[in-house]
Amino acid sequence: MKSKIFNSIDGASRLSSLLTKAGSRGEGNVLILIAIWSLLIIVSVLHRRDFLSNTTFAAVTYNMCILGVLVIAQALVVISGGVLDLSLPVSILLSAYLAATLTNMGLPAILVIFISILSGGFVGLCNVFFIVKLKLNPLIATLAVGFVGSGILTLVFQRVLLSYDSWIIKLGLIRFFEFPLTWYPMALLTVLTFCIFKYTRIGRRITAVGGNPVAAKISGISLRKYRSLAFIVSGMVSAIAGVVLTSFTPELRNTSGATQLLPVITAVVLSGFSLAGGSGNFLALFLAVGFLSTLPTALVFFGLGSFWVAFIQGMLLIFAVSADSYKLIKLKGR
Amino acid sequence: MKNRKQLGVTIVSLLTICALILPVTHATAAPKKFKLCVGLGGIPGLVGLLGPTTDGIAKAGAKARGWDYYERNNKLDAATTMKNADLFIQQKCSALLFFAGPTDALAAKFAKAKIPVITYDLPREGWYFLGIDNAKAGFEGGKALGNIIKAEWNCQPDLVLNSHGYGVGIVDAMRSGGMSEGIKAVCPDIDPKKFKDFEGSGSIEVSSPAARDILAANPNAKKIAAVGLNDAGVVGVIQAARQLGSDYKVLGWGQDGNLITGDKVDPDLKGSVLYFLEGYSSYAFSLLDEIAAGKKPPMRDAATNPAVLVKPCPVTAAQAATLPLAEARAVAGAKKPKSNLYNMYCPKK
Repeated sequence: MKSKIFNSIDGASRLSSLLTKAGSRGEGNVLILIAIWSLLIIVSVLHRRDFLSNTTFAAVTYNMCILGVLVIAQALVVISGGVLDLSLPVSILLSAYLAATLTNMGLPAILVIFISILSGGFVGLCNVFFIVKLKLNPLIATLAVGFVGSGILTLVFQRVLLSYDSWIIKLGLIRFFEFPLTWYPMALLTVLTFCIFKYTRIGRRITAVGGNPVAAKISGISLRKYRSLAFIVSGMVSAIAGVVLTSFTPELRNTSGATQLLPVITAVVLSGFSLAGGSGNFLALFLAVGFLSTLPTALVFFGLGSFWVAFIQGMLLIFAVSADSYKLIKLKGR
Repeated sequence: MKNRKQLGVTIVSLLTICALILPVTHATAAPKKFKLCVGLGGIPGLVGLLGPTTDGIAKAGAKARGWDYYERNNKLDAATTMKNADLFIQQKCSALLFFAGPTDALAAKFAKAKIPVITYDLPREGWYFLGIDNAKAGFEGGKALGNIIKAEWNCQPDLVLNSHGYGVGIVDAMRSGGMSEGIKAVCPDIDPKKFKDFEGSGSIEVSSPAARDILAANPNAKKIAAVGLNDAGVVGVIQAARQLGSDYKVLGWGQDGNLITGDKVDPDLKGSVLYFLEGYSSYAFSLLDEIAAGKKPPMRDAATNPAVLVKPCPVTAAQAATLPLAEARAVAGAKKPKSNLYNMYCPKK
């Protein structure tokens, strides 16, 4: 009994120290990301004055719409200790397919969006079954769910065409206070997740489950419950990205969404989310998305082709993962 | 008695030997029936030889000629393709229509089995090549758009955006490059700096954000001509311009005809170049007839000198509106196994 109490106290103190470290780490990343994003904008403006234009603003904010939502989905899994969700492309594709098909069937917009988002939850549930119930390695399990899902979707459809005057395509063209309407889900989700993880018990518990599962368990937090929650919500969030993708793409193919994984992982790691789980700042995530969305536009102003985008994203990912590993080694060494 | 028994045994033995030998000699003497084999590409969204479902035109063509027919789907997968190659060899195919990325291992298998192969779009040494006249396709499409640019903007576009698919190499160079050449042929005075090439990967998803960035870098350009490797790449540009503002005017002309027929055609896509991909196999029958007749057609396996050339068919959006969809064209093509889809559907100006 005594040792149990001591364990519990030890667990709680480890948990509290972990959360403090996570918080300070996140704030540091926010400043770094503000600096590099500002630097990119300043260098681009110095190179060409017309970089600061409404068109550039529109191009960058459009670039943020899908990426911004997907990184939140991925970050939810990462912070809960799920390593990475490699099934994200299938959540996007399933939701996009349903959004396009149901729109063509003439269903009301609200119902289309609701069903599409729900489909992401289903993919999340599949992940939960393999990872939480069967305790499979999250990387392998999400990869497998991704392969199985995209295999099934390839059998189900090849492409879905949408009319340029359908409500969903029009949705992708609407601007509200200069921002694309499809930008707002990302902004709202950023604020929401930032507040949940900073101020609510659920957020802190998910962080604890990812950061130190042993300590979290000792403190009475249900690992199964919070990991399941993270995967299901993550699936639903990526399904929102699927709806946004449909609103941008009058021809949806069964390969759509497959290219999103590299920038998503880059943004998550760049913003300081540890792949070991338990730390990360959703405000930093927004800044990383802003930086990565400005990068391709800036490169074009410098006369560089789109090939450079993938190269730079890959390099940034290597750099960010190396920095994360270095920090972890340093932390363990103490 | 013993002699009788021996005689009986001898007669039965002789009859047995005859029964075994005769059908074999008979079979050897009869001419072997020509067997056409087809390795489908399995490309999603396409029908016919390149698509994932049965090639009705190839099947009907073989049936009309009294040939045997055997078909497998390569499913865009290397392992399945290799497995299918073994099955084609086991089936003792007389000739093979094959769509897949050719590899040395595949080529060696078919060469060893002495099966003549006719391949499409991706040339391979030692395989008859059946290809689209890519340079002409691009040039004709560019010329058609050039005429519209001349009529609407007096050959003064602000930008000409060319959505490439560099991954397909020479095909992209000829098709997308041909588009720019076609426009220049009609409007030779367009400033070369106005031609902007970018990677669109033949999809709206990639083409659209890339085009947005180029439009942002050229904020004063509002009259945009859009061309590219295929329709999707061009629609990506149209979509990008619409997202950035209503003050853009886009004139687009695509290739492949994937987004120019049906009831969901974008009004800014003014036309496309059709190849009637769903009827690819119909073009091969001229070559197959020669092989079936026991002739050995001269090997032409280079993209620049194909054994069979598919004629491109530029169509305006108005002309395309009168055409049936690819699936329906494939069904109609199967009903006319001695014709081809170009002859059946390409508008005669």
